[in-house]
Amino acid sequence: MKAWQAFGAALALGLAGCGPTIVPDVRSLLSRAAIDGYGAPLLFVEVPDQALAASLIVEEIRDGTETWRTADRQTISLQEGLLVATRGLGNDVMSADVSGTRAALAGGPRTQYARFASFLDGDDRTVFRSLLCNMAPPRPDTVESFSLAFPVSLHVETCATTGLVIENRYWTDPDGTMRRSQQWAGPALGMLYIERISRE
Amino acid sequence: MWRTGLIGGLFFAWAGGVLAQGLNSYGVQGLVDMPTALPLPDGELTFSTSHFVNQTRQTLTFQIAPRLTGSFRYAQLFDISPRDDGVIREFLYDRSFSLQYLIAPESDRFPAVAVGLNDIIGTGVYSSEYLVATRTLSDTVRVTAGIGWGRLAGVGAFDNPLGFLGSGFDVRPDRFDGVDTGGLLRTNNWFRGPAALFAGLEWRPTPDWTVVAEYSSDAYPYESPYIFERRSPLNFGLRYQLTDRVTLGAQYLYGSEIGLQVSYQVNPSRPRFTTGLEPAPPLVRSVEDAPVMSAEDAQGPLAAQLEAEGLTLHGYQTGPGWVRVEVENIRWRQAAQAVGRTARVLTRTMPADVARFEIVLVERGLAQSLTEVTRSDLEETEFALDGAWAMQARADIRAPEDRLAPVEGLFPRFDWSVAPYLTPSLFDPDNPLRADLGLSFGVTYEPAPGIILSGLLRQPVIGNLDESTRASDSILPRVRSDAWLYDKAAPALTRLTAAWYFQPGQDLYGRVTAGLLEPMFAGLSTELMWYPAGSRLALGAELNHVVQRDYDQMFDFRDYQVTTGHLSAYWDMGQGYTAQLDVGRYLAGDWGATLSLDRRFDNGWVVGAFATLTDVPFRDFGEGSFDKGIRLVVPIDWMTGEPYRETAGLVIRPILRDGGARLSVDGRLYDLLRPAGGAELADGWGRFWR
Repeated sequence: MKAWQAFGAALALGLAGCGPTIVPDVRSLLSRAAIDGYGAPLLFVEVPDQALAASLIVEEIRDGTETWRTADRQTISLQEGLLVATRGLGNDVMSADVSGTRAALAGGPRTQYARFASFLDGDDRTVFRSLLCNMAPPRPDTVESFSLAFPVSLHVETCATTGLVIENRYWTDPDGTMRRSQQWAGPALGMLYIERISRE
Repeated sequence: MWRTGLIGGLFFAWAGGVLAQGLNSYGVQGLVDMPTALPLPDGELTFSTSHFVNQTRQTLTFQIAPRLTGSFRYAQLFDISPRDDGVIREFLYDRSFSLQYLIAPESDRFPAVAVGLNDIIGTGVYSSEYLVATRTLSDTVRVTAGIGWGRLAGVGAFDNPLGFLGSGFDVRPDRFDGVDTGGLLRTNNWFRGPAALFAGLEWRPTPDWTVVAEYSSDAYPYESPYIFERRSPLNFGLRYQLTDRVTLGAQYLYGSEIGLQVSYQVNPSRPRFTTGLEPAPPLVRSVEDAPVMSAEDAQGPLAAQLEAEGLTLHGYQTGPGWVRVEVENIRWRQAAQAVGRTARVLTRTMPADVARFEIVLVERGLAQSLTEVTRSDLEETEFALDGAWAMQARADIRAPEDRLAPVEGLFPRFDWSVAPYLTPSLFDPDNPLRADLGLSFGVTYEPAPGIILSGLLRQPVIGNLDESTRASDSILPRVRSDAWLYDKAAPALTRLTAAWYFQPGQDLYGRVTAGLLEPMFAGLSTELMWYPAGSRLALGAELNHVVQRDYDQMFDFRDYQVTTGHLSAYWDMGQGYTAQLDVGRYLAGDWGATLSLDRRFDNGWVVGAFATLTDVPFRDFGEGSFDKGIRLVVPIDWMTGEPYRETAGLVIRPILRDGGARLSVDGRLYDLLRPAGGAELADGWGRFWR
């Protein structure tokens, strides 16, 4: 918990907002020195449609699923950087199957693979979104992150379902670590912008 | 559990380009005054107020089922002549129910066709029936035509085309024939007498604006020429969609008048936050990382971590490889979420050799359900696609066979609360909306599990309930119609009771409550219920002997005493519909039965209606003829997104009188058991991993 205090205001801003308010510029409250000073992995997550932004720390890792949390205990769960669940965001991703995307990023089949996510409807019943996706071949790119430039590969994934086409983007380090991503988190949350801001 | 298909399943309806169904001045789907055939979205609840010359209509409309729409309307009418005989009534407060049923949905070739009944049980001025067809021409244009009877056959009327069914259809009986108290089902009027045609058009030039025009077959016989001059059958309207829930409307009516309207539409199935704003649950901990301690030592951390999740540990027992916990759910509306969070906490607190968790939900000393899960299943499904379903398939839900001793230090328990309250009183002719806002002070003392002493004191702060001067004219014992006298009490000790809850046998539950049971009655109330775990049927019996309390709501009593009680059947019909039948003796000593039909949304909303018929003759009952009403329950967490178990409820009765009145006792067994029973647990299971 002391880590949060070190970040002061930047973290206190948290994920409090909702509705069409202006995203507080949490990013400008962070600096490379503060990030490095924290000494443990940090994520920076933005949800533009919900006007939310926060930095997250690792809560727990179990069986390849990393769960990261904000100061207010809102969480996102990632498998190799791919979003499989959110909690506490109001209209959460309850679960997801991203095995197709994971395989495509690892050099497996890049066309016509499926991606699934489940949500709750207003009556607490499970509803699904199933998407059919294609991954473009990776191309070299650079991620600028708080005064550092990371050489990365950019993978662009296009997924479609009835009445909806989305584009997810993944920037991976040479060792495969997800440096930055833009991932669709359902019709209510929209896109999640996830960035690993710590060096490791 | 309701599930949509895995592939291509429908998620939230996308904000479509299709013309939304608007409301007419009667607050039902329609044009200006005329109805249209298309239903509202299923479950939609709308409140509408419209006004034009001396007429204000407030309507509550509910899309009861995909094809069935029901409305309750309260109209305030001034200086009209309700019999069209020139005799002017200074004011008329007209309450009416109406129904519309979609006979055929719109298809490629045929329009949507619906039949409707206005003022089905009244002698009201709006009595009419209709058959209406609506055709969608494009995303922005719809046309409607229909045939109406009664009030809707005022202009261009012709002989009833249903005349071939019998000569009885040729003439419409007078509204007041053989009726002196209103409130009866008036089927002898339906579709009788001359008929007339009406038609209209809806056009949406921009996404926010809709223009409507119609040819109205309503001649306004009781209003024109008494309060306005009806010059033309043509009406025009303009609607502006202010927000996704609020619509403003303006109308130019009958060539002479301007009308205004505000509508509020809400769909219980669409909360702003489907999964709520509560913090993330504790994560499932791998058995490899389980705490190394004895099961006895684990109880303390378990209780503390449960408490942080709004769960109180009542009972704790371990055996070889298993643990059983009894847990009271303080915070979560959906019992499955309470079970899910308990299971998560157990993975974090139980030593590695405890592989099996039995989670019993308890409340007021009663065990509501037992859910058995294994640690390995929790680990496997926490992040699996549709892990909730996977977990439900592996969980075993049943009735607990035996009970655990309460954990040390829990009893005796004392709790208190201070909360604001709001009590509205509707439809007083002198002031249709009265309300009191005040503070309520509650105390609860539980010396042992299932024994609860509690009191509630209310102090009104502002309001006008005490200003009512409508003395009862009831010829029955005034068991409810003196409510206005009780409303003057300040402070009011609304409840002071001792209750005992017990389980006399398998699937059996009992309650004995004594004391000041409710604002108007005190005495002894006993109840026994048969309710197997997971059952969609429950049976109950209640027997009470009560004495009427004095108006000051303190410790004085009036002379009236009565023995009252009911046999009750509760039936969960599935698809969210429930029925309740109560047969027995009511507070005024009358014998009869109450039928209640509710639509219960899995998110906690309830929209329902009830009616009671007893051996009190309609004439003796007085205005309204028999007791009936509508009830609404809105979960607080639906509105705020914050976790909260409580709900806000409202019962709307056209009129409150003395026949068919039931005792209002706190903590009835069905309401206590149902939310955490097996059926509800299964229906809400989507929230297990939330």
